[in-house]
Amino acid sequence: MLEALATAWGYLGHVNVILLIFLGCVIGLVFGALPGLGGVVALAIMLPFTYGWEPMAAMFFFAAIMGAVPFGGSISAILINTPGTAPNAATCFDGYPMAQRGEGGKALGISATASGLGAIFGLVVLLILIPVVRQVIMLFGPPEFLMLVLFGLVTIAFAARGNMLRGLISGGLGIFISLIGYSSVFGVLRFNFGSEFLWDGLRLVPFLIGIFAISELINLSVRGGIIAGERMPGKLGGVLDGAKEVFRNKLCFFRSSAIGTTIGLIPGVGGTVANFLGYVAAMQTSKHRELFGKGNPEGVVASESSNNAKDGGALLPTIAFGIPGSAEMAVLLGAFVLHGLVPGPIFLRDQLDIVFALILGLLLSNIIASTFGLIAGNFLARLTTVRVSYIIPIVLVVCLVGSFADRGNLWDVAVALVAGIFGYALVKSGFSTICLVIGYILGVIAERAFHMSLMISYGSYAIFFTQPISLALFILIIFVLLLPFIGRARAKGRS
Amino acid sequence: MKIYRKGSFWFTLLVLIIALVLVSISFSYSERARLIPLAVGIVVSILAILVLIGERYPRLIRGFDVSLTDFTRGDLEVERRMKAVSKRGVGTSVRTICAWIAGFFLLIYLVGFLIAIPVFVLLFLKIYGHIRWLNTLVVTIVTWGIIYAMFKLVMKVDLFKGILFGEITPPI
Repeated sequence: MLEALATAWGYLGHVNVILLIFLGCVIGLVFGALPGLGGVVALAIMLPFTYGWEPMAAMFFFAAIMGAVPFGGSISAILINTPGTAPNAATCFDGYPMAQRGEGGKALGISATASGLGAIFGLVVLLILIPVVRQVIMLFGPPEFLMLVLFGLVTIAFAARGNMLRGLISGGLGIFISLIGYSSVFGVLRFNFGSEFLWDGLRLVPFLIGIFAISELINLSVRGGIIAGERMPGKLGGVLDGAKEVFRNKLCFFRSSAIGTTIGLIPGVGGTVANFLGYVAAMQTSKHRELFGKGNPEGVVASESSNNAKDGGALLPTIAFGIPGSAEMAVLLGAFVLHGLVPGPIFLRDQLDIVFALILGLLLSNIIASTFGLIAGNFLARLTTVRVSYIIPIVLVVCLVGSFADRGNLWDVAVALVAGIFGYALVKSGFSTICLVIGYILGVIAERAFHMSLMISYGSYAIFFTQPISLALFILIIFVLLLPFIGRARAKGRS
Repeated sequence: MKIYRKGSFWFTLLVLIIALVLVSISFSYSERARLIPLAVGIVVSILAILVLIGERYPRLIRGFDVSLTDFTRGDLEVERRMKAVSKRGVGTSVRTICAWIAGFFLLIYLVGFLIAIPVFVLLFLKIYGHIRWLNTLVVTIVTWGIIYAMFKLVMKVDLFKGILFGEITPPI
């Protein structure tokens, strides 16, 4: 483990890696500060730029983006009352009232410190859990992995926004899409409809760009106007006082960070839940409950620490089991595939240096983003007053050229466009894009695990129910599927 | 609202049709190759039928409208705040932006990236965005310059030149 850490640490001595981390931070801050874009769009757009990069350098870059987005989002939440990303929503409740009474700098100071320390908290928990999880994943074979994928899909369908049935349908559609093209396992072409282009299946980069970035652009254009229109506060003083405020509210910080990390560990739930649960817990336990929503610094501490702590937690199911803890992690999973890294149990065993690159990248980016964000906070918040008419063509151009750059095929651009429109319709109809992407990324791997399991058991399906972990996961799947009915029955009983 | 007026109804119906088509295609593969697509297709079809029934009789599938926590509040909060500050609201339709995107793709197909990009950005900013000429020109030039520098000079990507300039499209 220490050897892997040393390898990852060694990369920080390279100037280009440091520059990539800085660049990632700037991109993360800008995309985080711009409401409607956020981390998922930033990661999807940046995927094609990393072609030919060393996987380690690419992971530092992606981690830097992910680490900087939450603080970027808090800048617009505090200064202009518009959360840059959904997980910053609760920051508005107390951050903006603070800015209104001339404490914008203090609120940003709280946000920067709580974000940075919250992220460190989450990563420390991750570091503690890695050795434990490494022992557990040694017990995972093909049947366990298949059950794990199914469990991940069911959990995410349950946790994703909207209806559970639609979440499951999205996952199924994702699996279908992953099956398009030539299967090396069976030596057959499936669902290519006679198209030569579809022999290789739908490529990852154009698909992700379409589903996450282009669909968001359509959404942004429908919304129209300028991203935000609130008047900017004047100078930003009291930053240091804000930083001290986090230490004055230690208990609130630790409680919110623990909530954030725990929520991050649950696949698919994501930062919005962490953010709100952290905020609500702080409000319920505070001595000054009446001040929440009126500019209580505790509210900002709770919201931002829980939001950032979730990244450490969310990284664990992603790297250990290939089940993403959040939407950003789903795209990160795509980045793994793009760089030849196989998500799933083997990853944590064989690619530990990459894991440490992600951890170090997240750690550094949080520190850099908090510092840089404080200096450039006013400028970043001003970006949100830019009209969407400027943003749409620029981002669209990058999306389409990026889709083409994947392998120089024009039809990949068409795939990105169709995926974008499909993704938009999917979201508007209450389906889950995360489930779709999970199904798409893990579909083929799960199918391979399924057939390998059958080969091991000489064709007996009992293998999925006789292995203890596999059986336990199967029972968990049934339990999650029954949860809505249990909840309904309990609600009926109460009424 | 009548269900046939709901976009989600038609989209779910489309999903059901796609799933059924894929299930029927699966039968043409060998037993092992069709196992997963068939299983997934049947499950997706059944779930899609349930969702369609739910569109007409929402009470029947209300149990599946999961509320693990109040986690959707964050998204709703963002939407609410954005709507509150947006000057144009939900004015521009999806069809308009899709037409712009499709037009951009057609332009790339005909004249290639290096010409299509400035033309699209300029027209979009001017016609769609009603941006001042000076800003339009600056943004167009800067966008083109960044794309050229990043993809052509740094990443050495051979950008599509357009069929009007003799480029051959790959087989579809």
